[in-house]
Amino acid sequence: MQIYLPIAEMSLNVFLILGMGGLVGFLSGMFGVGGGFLMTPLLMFAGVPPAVAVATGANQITAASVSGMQAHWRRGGVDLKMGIVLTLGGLIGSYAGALLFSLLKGIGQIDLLIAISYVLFLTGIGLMMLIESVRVLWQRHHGIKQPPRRRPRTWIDALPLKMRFRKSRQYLSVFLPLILGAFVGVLVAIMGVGGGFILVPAMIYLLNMPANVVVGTSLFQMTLVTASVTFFHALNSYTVDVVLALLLLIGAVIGAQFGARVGYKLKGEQLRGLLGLIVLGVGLRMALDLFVTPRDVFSLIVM
Amino acid sequence: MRAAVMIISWLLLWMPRPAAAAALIADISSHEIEITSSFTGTSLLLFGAIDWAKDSNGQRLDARDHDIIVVVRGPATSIQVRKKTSIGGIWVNRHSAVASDMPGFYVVASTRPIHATLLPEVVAAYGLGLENIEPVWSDPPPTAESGTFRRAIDRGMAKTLLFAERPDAVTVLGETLFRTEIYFPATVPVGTYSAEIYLARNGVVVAHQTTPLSVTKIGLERAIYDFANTRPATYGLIAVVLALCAGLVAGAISRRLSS
Repeated sequence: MQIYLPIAEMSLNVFLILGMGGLVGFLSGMFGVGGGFLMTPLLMFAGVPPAVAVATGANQITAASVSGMQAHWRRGGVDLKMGIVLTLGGLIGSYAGALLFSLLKGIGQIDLLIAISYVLFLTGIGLMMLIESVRVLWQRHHGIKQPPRRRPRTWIDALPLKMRFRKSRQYLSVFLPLILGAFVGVLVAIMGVGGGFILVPAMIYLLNMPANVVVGTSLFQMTLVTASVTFFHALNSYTVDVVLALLLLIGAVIGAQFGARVGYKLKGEQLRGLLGLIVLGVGLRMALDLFVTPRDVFSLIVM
Repeated sequence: MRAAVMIISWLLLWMPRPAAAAALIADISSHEIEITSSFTGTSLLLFGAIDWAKDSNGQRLDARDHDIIVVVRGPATSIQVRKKTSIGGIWVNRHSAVASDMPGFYVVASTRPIHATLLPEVVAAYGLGLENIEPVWSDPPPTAESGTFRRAIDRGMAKTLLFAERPDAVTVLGETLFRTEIYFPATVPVGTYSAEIYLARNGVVVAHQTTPLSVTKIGLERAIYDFANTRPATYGLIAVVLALCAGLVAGAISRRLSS
């Protein structure tokens, strides 16, 4: 069953759209990542123009995130205070990132930068998460007990304006999550993804937050950031296709509910290992595109 | 459709004949393509008849070697061409160019290859065929490569069926009637089109006719498209609110179902 998409100006199979939404929603609910790193390439692969894919992907991730976030909220898995600080940082960062984007565009080579940062971040983070979770699982299997980890005191603790984040069991400078949020925001603007795949490991390894609030809080931040990204894309480039987004999000919200449930059954390390595997896979797939000689070196964009 | 052709040919029999040269009468099965939510591309039938010149005894004058050429041209658009280059083993889009004033849709259908039918200067004068579409580079490619960039446009557009050259797609029925089907894919751009029909003989065009055609979005598709382009802020807000509501509602439903 085909349906015509008014903004993308093409027709796609309804079940294909629902399926893509469901798959991405499942991951989103399970891992607390928006799935933008997967959604955008999937849509483009289906033939949706890149600009429409990025903007509509953001709109769909808003729905998937709020649905997943709600499920985590009920289980007390959202640190509201941390989420708001991260979001503020994210908004500042995405604005700065947009400026950086146009600056680099002026110099040229923006495509190379995007491609390389995609591959580096995806494979790097994927590999890191995979190794870490395998290590923990190995130790548990062999009965090696790790003392409860505490973040060692460093210059980080010397930063001013400390704030207590009760749910995250943190007492740290407000600048730390703010800077982390801003850093992710820069990447969101440049790479056109939600940034959950960076935020989630950063919250685990950098902020040392307990695993059960990481996913919910990440989804909270994602909801707000993708909502603003959607709005600005609609305003500046008219590329948000609501028909496509609605179909994607029907699939996604269903997928997200299942994902959240499966996610709660799995242990933190298993979750991280799985996500690491998926992120690494997408990263390697993109690296392949960079190194393999393309069949046609030319590509067209009809404006 | 066959009925329409029959009627036209019947009319032709009774119409007063023009004295000298052959003339053309042609039409399309529909002058408007309406894009609705179920639009997946469509074909239009373009048909017509050759009104032969005859002498006073009703004998046809020049009966041999006539060819029909049909050109359907879409609204002008800009096409960006990007070329990947290997930099240190990494393939990345390096050069790009923008061709303005290109047709967003261009199909040539004929009874025989155009060059077998028309003199080269006639082909060029009428701008027939893909090779005679001159791109206006608003962002020019590297000078040495304008040819390969130009050919990349034809190749890419042909892949999505927006450009086509079909040298055997016009069929002639009997000696008077001709027909061809023009396919419009789902990605067809909206706007005003023209269908040009040429009657060729001895290397020159002896008659031609142009008929308009339009592709429009209608109904909900039209409303959404217009809304997104005229009230982008409101549209953006609605898109966000819609996403938030859908997410919350779906969450509530699934909780209800599972409890």
